[in-house]
Amino acid sequence: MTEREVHSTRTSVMGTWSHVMVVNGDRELVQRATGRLAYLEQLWSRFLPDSDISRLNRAQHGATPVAPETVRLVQQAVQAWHITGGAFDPTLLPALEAAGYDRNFADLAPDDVSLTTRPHREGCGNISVNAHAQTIDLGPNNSFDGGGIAKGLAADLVASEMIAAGAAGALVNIGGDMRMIGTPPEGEFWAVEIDEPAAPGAPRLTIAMKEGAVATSTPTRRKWTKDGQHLHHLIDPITQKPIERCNQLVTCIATEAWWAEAMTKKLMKPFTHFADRDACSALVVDVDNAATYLGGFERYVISTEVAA
Amino acid sequence: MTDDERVAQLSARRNTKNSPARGAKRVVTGFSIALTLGFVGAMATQANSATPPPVIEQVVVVQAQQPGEPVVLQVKRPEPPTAQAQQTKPSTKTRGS
Repeated sequence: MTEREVHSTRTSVMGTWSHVMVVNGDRELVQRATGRLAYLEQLWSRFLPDSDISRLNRAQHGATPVAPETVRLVQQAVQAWHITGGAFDPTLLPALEAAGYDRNFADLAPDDVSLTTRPHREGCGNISVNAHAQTIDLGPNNSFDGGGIAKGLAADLVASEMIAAGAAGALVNIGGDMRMIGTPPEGEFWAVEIDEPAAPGAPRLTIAMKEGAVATSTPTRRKWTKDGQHLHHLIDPITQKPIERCNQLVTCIATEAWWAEAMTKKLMKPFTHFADRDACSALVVDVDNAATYLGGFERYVISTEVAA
Repeated sequence: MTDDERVAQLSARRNTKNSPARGAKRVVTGFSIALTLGFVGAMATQANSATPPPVIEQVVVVQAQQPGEPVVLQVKRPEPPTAQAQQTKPSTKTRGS
């Protein structure tokens, strides 16, 4: 078998780390991919005042011109909101800010948050997307936060672009939300380690697939405390507060990363109903560290190394 | 009869022939046209990807509130590995962020 040429790089983008890999493609594609990711961050960050998302949130009611990529992001997010019946909700920004996550997480001191009153929220029902005119109207008193689904969609877009540019295989991983297309670096399958601190005796899993997407969410990293109250960034759309007894880890496997990421958010809430139409396979670890496989997740597991 | 009861009844009938994990079908009522169109849109997005089609494992039938034929959708998941994949080294890691 001919040895495959692999180029990769790791960098920081969208408030987290990223890993880009190209198999049997021009080395320049890796640099082009990281440039595209930086551009998408400029469009989608809620912490950059001139980003499309910041302009949308300032504009409130009224059609706002945005980049084609932002049209796609809002379309996908609204689709996910519809399909999950609101369990995935990209309009929870006021609740997230009210819980204290109102600046870049790196700048958030653990005890430097102020809880405010429960904010008003509209959901996605009033969001209008005009793909032809490339404008978006969030509707009155509404806001949008791409959050994880933006990372997933960025991985989808940039991995597809690398394949379109001639690569045999491409991987784009943004903070654990990833898309893998085409020829892997070795063998026939892309393998991914689920890198979470496992309880003593619990298995550390490696999964594999022909190609596809993987996303993971956890409340254990972006967390803070206030007056003894433990808070995290995963908001319950019903209570509009951090999810109580939140599942500790959800990893979803799907065909595209934006959908895998949306499903992790749906399944973070304990005892969430899992349906056929969810179109993913999931690993759910609850607050008592009990793991459950959903949608045939076990078929993707190739290694269950036990942690020391 | 609720949706879940109807699904359970249909699944019980089909389970005499099919395993629940493969080929299971489901009839869901009460979803809006918007939901149906949204899902079709999501599947269309997948179809537009410049990649080979993933494995089709299940078929979900969503019946809109308005009269008309049910819309048949294909629920797709990535192709799982074969036994030879067990020797594959991980290319990357996933972790919550």
